[in-house]
Amino acid sequence: MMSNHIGKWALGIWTTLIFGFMLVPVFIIVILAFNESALGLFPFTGVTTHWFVVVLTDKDLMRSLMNSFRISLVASVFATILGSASAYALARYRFYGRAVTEMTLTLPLLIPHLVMGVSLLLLFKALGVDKSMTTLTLGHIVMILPFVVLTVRHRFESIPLALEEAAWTLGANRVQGIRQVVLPLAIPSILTGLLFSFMYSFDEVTATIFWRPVNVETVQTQIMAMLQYEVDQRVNALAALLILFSIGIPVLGLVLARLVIRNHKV
Amino acid sequence: MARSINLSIARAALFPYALSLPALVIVVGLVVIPLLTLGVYSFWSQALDGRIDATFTLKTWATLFEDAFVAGVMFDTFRLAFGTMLICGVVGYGPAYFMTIVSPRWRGILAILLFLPSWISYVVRTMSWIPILGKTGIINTALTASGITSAPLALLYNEFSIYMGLVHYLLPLMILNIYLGLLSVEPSVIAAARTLGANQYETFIRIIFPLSVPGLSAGCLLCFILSLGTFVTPKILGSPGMLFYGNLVYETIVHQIDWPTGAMLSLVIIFLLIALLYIYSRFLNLSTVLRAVKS
Repeated sequence: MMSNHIGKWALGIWTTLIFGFMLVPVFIIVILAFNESALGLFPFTGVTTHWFVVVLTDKDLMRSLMNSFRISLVASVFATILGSASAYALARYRFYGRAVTEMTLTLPLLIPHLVMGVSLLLLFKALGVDKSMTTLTLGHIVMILPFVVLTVRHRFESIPLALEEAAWTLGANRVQGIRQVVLPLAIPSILTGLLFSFMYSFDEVTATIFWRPVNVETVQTQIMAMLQYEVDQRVNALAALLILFSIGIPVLGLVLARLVIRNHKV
Repeated sequence: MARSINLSIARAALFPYALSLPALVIVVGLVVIPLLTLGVYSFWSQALDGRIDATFTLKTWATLFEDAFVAGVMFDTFRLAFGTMLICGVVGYGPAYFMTIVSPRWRGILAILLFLPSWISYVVRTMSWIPILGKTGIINTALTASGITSAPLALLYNEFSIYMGLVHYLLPLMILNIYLGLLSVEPSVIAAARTLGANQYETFIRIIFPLSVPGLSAGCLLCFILSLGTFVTPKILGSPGMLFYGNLVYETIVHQIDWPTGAMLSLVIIFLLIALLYIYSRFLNLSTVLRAVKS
């Protein structure tokens, strides 16, 4: 029994170390962002919030941030609408070609982003389509679509069919059944899908580097480009802002989802 | 009357198609057809002035087997991907197992901490190693201040920092997959082994570990595939001279603008992917690989 306890303790210490390895570097960036030195590296010379002001008033950085928001917002809204519709079909119907549909909609998840980036770029080139914000956003839509389908489909499957059947018996048609029975119950999951597909698109860099039009930077490609020269303190401040955003938004989303679920207990 | 019923049945039958068609069109148009385009371009050639010669040739594919440089890059990349996968598996098994033996409350906390890094962008997580490993970074400052080394060690912009970055990026995914694998082990099976006289060590070696192999393999497969295609980590944490497969593709497309070669190199990744998935599916259930995404 004694050795048992020691084993569990040793494993606990190991787990703490590994979780520290996964989480600490990111916090170091946040701390470093408050450093006075313009070099963007240690040693720590003094505490200041100056670099956040620099980032928030930098035209190029703010433009890249706005680009990212625009692309991810449009892409996640489209992906959520298209993905939820197909998720409903997969969850509720046994139709001819269902297995193929399911496989096709999962496919973007299996293709490495590098290959997606190259292949879509090549198709646009072959068709003579110039790179634009629209083509970049289209790429993002297809990349995040599977996440919405997987998240939302699960929820649709857990809503008892009897609820919809009751609506039909009471005279509702299919569309009314979806609008008035299914959607209100599934909305937390759909919003979760929207949120996570937004974050996924916002963080994407590998394919975006291939797809971005000339002179258009998203915030991720902007950071990559800045790191190619010397690390300056603006990168750390920008990264710190992104970290706070990346952690803040999902946490906010989960809290909201919990509130909605509490009010809509099935 | 009968006609209108038939009509409504036909419309009801078309309903699932109408719902899934837009998403399907997007995936076919923006993923499937581009992949086919890769296939076509890899059999074409490109003149020095950049014009594409649309006649069938095996020239591009021949470079894959003749060019020692490409073979060298591939070998380095395999080594990197395999090493990363191995480190993640060895280092990550313990924490994943620990998550299954703690109380549900701690399990929930650890699960949230495990998801936390995956919300932060790949680029930011990768760059976070620069102030840690750099010449004036935390590790070197600590080493020189404590007198362990007299001069700072070269920890950044080499293969060591690339491994650090990749393991840091992929470890949460590995732990999640092993954890999900371990969760699917029936507690009654463990209880049965204990009742039949196995001690905790024997139970782990002979029961728990073998049953967790599908999750572990899914994690390994994902880590291997994701490190195989990366060019972001070497670009941020490597030196300009270090070329891995992803960087080679990037250079070919973005700087040399050599479409046929870029298409061919991308297809090689797809073929490798198919081969790996095929091998995996021969022994284990392929749906295990997608399980981590669904959760």
